[in-house]
Amino acid sequence: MALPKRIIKETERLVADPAPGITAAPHEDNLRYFDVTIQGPDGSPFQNGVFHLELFLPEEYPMSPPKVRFLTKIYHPNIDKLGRICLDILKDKWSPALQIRTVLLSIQALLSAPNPDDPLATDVAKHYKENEKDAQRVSREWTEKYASQ
Amino acid sequence: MAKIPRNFRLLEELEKGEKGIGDGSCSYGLEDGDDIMMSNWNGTIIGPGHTVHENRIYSLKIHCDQSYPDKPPTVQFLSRVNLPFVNQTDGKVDPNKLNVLAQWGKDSSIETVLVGIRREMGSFNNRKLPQPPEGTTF
Amino acid sequence: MFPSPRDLFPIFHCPLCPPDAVLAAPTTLRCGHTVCAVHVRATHCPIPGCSTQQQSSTHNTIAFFPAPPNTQSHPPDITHRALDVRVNSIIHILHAANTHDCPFPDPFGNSDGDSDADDPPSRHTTPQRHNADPTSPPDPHDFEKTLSTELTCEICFMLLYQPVTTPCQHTFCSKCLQRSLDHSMLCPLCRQEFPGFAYFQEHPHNKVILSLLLEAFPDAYSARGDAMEREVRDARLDTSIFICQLSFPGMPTLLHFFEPRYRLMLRRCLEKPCPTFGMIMPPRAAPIPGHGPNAGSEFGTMLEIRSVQMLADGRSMVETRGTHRFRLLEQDSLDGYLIGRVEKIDDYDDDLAEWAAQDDDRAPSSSNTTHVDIRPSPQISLTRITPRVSPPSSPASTTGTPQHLLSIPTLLEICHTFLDQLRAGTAPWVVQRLNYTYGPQPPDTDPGAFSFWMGMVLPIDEHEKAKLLPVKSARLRLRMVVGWIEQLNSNWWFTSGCTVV
Repeated sequence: MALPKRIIKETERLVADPAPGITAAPHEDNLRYFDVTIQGPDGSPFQNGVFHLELFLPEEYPMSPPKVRFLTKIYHPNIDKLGRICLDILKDKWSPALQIRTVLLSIQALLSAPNPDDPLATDVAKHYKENEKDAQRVSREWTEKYASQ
Repeated sequence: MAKIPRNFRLLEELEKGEKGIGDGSCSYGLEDGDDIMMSNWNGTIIGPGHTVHENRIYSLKIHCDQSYPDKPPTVQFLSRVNLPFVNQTDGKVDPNKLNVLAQWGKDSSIETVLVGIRREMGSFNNRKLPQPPEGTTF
Repeated sequence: MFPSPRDLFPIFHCPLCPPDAVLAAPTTLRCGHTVCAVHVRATHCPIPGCSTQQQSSTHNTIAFFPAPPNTQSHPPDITHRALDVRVNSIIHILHAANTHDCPFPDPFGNSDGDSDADDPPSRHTTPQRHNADPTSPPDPHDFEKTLSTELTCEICFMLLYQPVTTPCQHTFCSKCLQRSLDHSMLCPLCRQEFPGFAYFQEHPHNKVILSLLLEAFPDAYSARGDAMEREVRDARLDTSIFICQLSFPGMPTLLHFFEPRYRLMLRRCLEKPCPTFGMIMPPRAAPIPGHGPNAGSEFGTMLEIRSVQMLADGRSMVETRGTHRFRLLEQDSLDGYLIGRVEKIDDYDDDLAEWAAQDDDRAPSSSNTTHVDIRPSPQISLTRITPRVSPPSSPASTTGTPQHLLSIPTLLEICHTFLDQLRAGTAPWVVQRLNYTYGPQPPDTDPGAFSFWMGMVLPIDEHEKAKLLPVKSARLRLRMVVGWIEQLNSNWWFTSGCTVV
């Protein structure tokens, strides 16, 4: 099955004109499968970290959202132990007018603005709600430990 | 056909396993919930009725390496069991003697392995095999 | 030679304003006409002679009942007509590109920001938008590029094809919007709720944008249409496959299409003159010993669509009939559903003749033996509703005549006996089920069709019944059916007469 034109165009644009702090490159043997890195946004506890993710465009993309997961361990209320991300546009708020680029930018924004009220990692969310400063300290520690290059 | 990469395939299987499959006679989950590569799994089979295995609970270890799902996982019984495809010294399942592993295909999964083993337990040749005492392990 | 902005302006003249007036605050109506928002005062199009009546473009003969309008949702609010975002942006582009030749100041010079709130990120990088400075020499290639970017569908990222405009004034390819509707009733760009599935059926194209496409990009536009046609025509895997349930030739099957991928498949089928698709059963949960992992789904039945009743939310009830069996030779997936190359399966030509001849020789003995042996108890019940006290006098067997020698008439007779016994000894609904669910009982003169009908009627595992599909001899199929009948007879006797072990 040939790769849809849209995926080819998106890939070309991602490589030629990458979003700041984000890289995405398709695997040679599977052009729907991308290696992604996102730099921790400045001013967040994830600053100076480089996080590895994997992204897969399922058969029905862009009618169905891409599947995205963190491979780097991260202490964040909306990202669980297996790197799964709780983000509405990856689920029911997906729209075919969104793209790989907008998805990755949204994930980068999620690092700047954790949302402990819609948690995936409930223990981290509890920590963030009860003692945000201490939780951010742990997030910084994890960033240093797992996401420094 | 879009080929689903290993990790996303295993995430799908994990989510299916968490929801529970079929009548609950087989179940599986990650051995370690922190294992980001999702390599080691635990499986449970409740022995089929009207056989020597009835009401017995069998624990298994399933290992999915980097070549999964192109290649089948390796499977090992933790609970002692007497079946022709199970090595009687260490509980390892011989992939050549178990149909679901020997004929591994794109629709095969951890679930089909467990269901396939359970079906073998109830097959004509295996349903009456003498079994080690319940609760013993390899 | 790419047309100049001046050549293209006439497309954007308002049909209701004085001649040569360019659309101001354009809004596109359901009929596909675009007018200045000030002209819109009622639900119907203000252009004289515009008929919003939709004409059906179905090119096949099946009965198609479109979705009823959604009565719960309100019609689009006509008092606040929204701006057709795309038409408006294009008018800006034309003005900007025209400033070089035009002695008058660009009337839209500073209004740029309002219109592109909904633009995808890609469009923010277009050079012309930030380059509207009249002092810089205009590059005709920039104009062409900007225009083609503005005419790109936000779903497929290609030149708009058959553009349709939503009530919220966003424009997509007709086919892209349809696919989006399969998944969601919200606009992909602004998430405003659409007025229902029916609103977009046979939706007229945006006439202004279509004219522009044909005027500015005629070659690219027709190439897109050709490419889509070619894809369908040259597809080696040309059969759509619906994985659902067992069906046989001659059987009616009523299907419910609700999954987005199958809605798309159905729509594509209905574009063909003779809408058909293949149906196979889902594979078992685990492979069966001795079979490959896909056992059971290699063979299926082609279904012809008889009628389609679409529901208000876009689901469909589809009435079909099995035409012939097939074997799946090669498969792939297309937008989430299975497509394949199939080979038709027919019965051997000589099958019937050969066995009819043999039947003359052995008819007396075999038919008598069997008839006596298999006569069942009239109390036997398909549903086990009726309690039974005594087992049948003789459990089923075919002693005397090896089963493989039984002739077609003999096999048919066994089937009829079984049917009589069902009809005599069971609840009336079972008889009704026999009469209606599987269509009329085929006559004995067509043992091929009868074998499928009879197999379908039996209360046994569907995967077991599916074993009839590859068998190319009606007699062999009848023999399999008779085998199941005998198993059923012996089981019933067993379960009613003894305690189940």
